[in-house]
Amino acid sequence: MIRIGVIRYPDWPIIAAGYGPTDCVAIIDKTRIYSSSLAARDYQVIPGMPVARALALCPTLQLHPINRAREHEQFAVIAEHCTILTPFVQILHPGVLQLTGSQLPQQSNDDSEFWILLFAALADALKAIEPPVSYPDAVTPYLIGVADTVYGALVAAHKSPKNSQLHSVAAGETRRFLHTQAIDMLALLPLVHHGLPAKGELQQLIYDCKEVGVFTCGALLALPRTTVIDRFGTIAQPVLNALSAEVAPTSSAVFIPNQRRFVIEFATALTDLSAVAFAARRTFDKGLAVLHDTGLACYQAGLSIVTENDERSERSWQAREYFTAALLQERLRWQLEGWRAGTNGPAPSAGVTQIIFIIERTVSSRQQPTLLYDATDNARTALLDTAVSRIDGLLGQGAVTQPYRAAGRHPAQWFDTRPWSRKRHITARPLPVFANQLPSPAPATLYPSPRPIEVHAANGTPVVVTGRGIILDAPHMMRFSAQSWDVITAWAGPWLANERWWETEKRRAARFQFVTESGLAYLVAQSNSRWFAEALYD
Amino acid sequence: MSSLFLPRNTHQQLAQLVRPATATTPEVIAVSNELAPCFPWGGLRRGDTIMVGGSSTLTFTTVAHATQSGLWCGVVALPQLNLAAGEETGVDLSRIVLVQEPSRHLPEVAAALLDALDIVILGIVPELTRETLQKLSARTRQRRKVLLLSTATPPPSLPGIAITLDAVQHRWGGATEGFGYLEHHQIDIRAYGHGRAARSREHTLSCVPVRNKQPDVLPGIAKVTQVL
Repeated sequence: MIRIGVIRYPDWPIIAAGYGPTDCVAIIDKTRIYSSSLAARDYQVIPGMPVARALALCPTLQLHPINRAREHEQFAVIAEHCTILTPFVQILHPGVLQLTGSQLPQQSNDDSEFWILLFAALADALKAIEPPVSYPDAVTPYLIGVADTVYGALVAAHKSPKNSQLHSVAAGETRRFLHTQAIDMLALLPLVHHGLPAKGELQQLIYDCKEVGVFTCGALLALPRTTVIDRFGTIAQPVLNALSAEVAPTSSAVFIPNQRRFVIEFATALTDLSAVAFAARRTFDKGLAVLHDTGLACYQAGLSIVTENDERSERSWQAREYFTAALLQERLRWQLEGWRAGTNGPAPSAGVTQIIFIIERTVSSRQQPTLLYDATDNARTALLDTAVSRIDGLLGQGAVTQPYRAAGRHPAQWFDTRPWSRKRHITARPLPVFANQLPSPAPATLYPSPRPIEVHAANGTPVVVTGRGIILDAPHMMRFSAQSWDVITAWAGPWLANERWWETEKRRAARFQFVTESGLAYLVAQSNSRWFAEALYD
Repeated sequence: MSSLFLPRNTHQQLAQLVRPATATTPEVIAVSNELAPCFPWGGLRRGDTIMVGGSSTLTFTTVAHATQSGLWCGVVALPQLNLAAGEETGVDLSRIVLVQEPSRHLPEVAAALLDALDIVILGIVPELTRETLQKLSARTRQRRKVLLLSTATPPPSLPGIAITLDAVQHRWGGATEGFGYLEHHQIDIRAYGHGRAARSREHTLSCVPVRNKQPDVLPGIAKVTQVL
């Protein structure tokens, strides 16, 4: 099971400024204290306090202005040191770090080697930042929380037991742990949930909960879900999800901030497709093995092919479930084939010297990702996905499409297409009805562009349609330019439409259905005194 | 003797490998009852290349039943097909895969789709040479799929076409001199081919659009024009 750890440095602004716990230092943001060191806190200097008051309490207090850029910069060093343990390290905020991996201990009392290595890595990291900060052995600048969800781990990192920098919530216990927490803990949510709306709204939610006597997270969860969402609106949904420790389906894919890159260099430029694919195989094997050890599998991979003349082909490939080395090899082959075919831009002029393989997205290797289609005919759709990837490789991404329901007055607008990669099921909702919409059946053949025609009345004069759609003489015959006349045996219409009135090329069209003596039926439009055949009923 | 050494399922696999090119009971993909009389086998025989000419509605009708029963259908080089009409004919569009413009990669695209899908509808475009068509037909036969060529006017001599459905005449009802609108569509079909399909068949197909319970929209001012 994937476990998530959060490492939190409560005094990170102080450390980033280059001070230890014994220095009497405070970081100020405008006129207020933003962060204070341990020594300063002994003088009751606490964050949020006016600077003048802090100086009155502790005259020797050193003041430093806030420097967020430096906080970020220094924290990247700490994150880098953690990557030796697990590649999936993400900075949530300067001072708060997320680790993901299956090797994180499952049980709360686990005394594994992982912690020893992690503590050593963190100690090294503190020495590596510039200037190095020294902490006495008894004091650790960080608190670690481990749980099943990020939010659970973050709360755990705030609720460490005394004399221990580590708080691990046992696997499967995260929900129960969160239930006992005070409602104020919700204020941490924006750190892990970037989609969460403005902080003010969240503060209001916490305040309102307390007003009505809901003091713990468990009490909030115990309320009917719909009532809570009705009362607080959209903000309540992520809050409830976080509290119930449910992992949203989309989060099964873990984003890796420091993408794992593997560069394959060839001593001589390779021109043979098979040779390139063969040479890359070992690296794919190695890269995927590294991932597999951490309990993850590659779901999206980026492949860049570089030639001797420094031309590049870059593409992102998504696996149906996850990539194996053989599947990646196949994708590499397709990409190179497609590039050489020169369908999307110039073909490479020289042999391949370098391949860069980037693991872009991962899934838990023990958990099936959510399939976009129903899994009833799995084997067939697997074949289909392979074919689609192959064609996309040849013609460029988005060449294979799927129809989806759109809407409009014109039958050509009733369906549109979208790339197969964004495939979803066609929803069963009925077509919305537009005023003056053409009736069913729809013409089966659409002309790629409207074909100009001539329409004459029985007396041989062109048929005129007035601005209000009144037809002065019944249409009698029609012809495509320079072809023979075809007598119109029946006609219907007009259907009037003001089209693209919001643009400069706006037009007013009157549409008719013509049935000709030859048996063919056309959909024709009259616009700006000119006639066009738009589609064929065949 | 061989049965002593080979497990039962291997036997069956071998039998599959050496089956005759023309199986005695061909696998048939069902078509709608109205269209079944056009085919000597009562449906689309797997492995066949067939051609539909003169009607996009007929193309849709041919595959409608197959998509409804869950088979996938690829549509290649036919950007002119109006999918709305397809749905009205009963095609399950969630089973459709489109490659509108394969350009010069048409052979590879069609071959890749034939590997994965049951039916591939292919437009007759300049890129589809005789050699390409022969190769694709062979692939269709091997993979036990159906290749359907769709065109406005069927070319007289294309190799390997098992059966051609030609829409020789369309008849429309519903619209008169300015009244009503196109409603009833009848297609006179002539079906001809080789072997059992050699005897040409005539059939009239009545197209009843599936209207999705969509309220009929009447042209509001058709009557006024008539008065004038």
